[in-house]
Amino acid sequence: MALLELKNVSKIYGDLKALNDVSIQVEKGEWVAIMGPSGSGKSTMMNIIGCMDKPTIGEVLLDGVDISKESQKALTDIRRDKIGLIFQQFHMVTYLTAVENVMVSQYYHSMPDEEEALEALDRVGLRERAKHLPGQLSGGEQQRVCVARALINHPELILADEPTGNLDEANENIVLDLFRQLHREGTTLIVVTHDPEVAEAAQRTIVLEHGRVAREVINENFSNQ
Amino acid sequence: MKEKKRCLVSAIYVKVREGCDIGKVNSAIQGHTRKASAVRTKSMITDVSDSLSGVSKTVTWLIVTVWVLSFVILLIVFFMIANERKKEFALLRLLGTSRAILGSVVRKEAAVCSLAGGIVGIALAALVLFPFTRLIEKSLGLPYLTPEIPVILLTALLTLAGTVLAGSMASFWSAARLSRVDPGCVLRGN
Repeated sequence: MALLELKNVSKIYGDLKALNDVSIQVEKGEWVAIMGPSGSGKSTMMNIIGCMDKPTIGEVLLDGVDISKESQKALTDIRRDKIGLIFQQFHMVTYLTAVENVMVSQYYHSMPDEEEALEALDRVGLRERAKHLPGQLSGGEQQRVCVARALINHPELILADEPTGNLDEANENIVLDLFRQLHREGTTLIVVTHDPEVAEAAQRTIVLEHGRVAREVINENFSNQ
Repeated sequence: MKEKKRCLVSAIYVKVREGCDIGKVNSAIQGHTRKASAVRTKSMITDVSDSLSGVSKTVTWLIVTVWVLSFVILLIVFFMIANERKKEFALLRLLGTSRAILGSVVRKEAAVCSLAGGIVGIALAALVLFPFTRLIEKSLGLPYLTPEIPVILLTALLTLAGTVLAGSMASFWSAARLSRVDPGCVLRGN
């Protein structure tokens, strides 16, 4: 069953078609990588899937709901309840500790629960660093906190934008291992990346060029172990 | 012999109605009293009165100017803070905070900061004013009387309310701007 479906989606800015008649489908529990050069429409697609923007033409079905017709308020609610976001630049609140950064996500979703937030940090191997500020954490550790923040509300979809773009190889492997773990548990993952190695970790890669789907590649050697 | 009880009066000020002929009042007092001389002190009193009203007007204008300047400075400060914290608020939007909640967070923060600033300002003013009343009196060359405690408390409360109101109003613009940020663009640095 498809968790996400884009049907003939176009996003037009003046004369520019950032996305041009794109149709894709992502199944529940699938791990998909989206690749493409700069200006290929990856960011636009991520904004639309992440309920940050609406398409000019076409339908976007997320868990059966056409989000292209929803109001801004409804999109905020969908994003909060169904999507976990991970960014290249981490984007942590600088004056809050690691555990508080995770709890912020809970605060606007339901109720902050420190024990649950600590468990999420434990899952990414950072329980001992819970009381540290972002400035006291390495890039890899910050990204792991962001993964904990993204998964704390048990989203149906994890949307990651260049999650390993600022990480060294060791930390990249840690983050990819976390993704494998999430995938084993049935979480749907969409990872926007430039890195072929990160794309190879996914089940399927969608390559965008000039706002269109250029090709789709199934990873025959996929393993989430 | 029983000593006669003596009442000594050094001076009596007579306040006359507006437009009244002070010369006539003076003659009337002279005609009805012995051993006492009536002196016209109009110039003395009105000079002090004029000076006080001049000082009062200047202080009033100063207060208005300070309030207006404070409001403008608060506007600029909140604008700068809003720019500094754009990413933080964009992140909160992405985590599911509604525009209304985000706006109210900014306004509440502004109100709390203004309240704290108001309390500190009033405390500092009290520290300067009360122990140095004499010095102020000397430097002004005019009588300087501190108002009664209820008046002082009321002034302090009104000032505090004014401070919180000014801070909250100054933050409205920033709150509106921050709640309208495009989170996707901000977090991508576009």
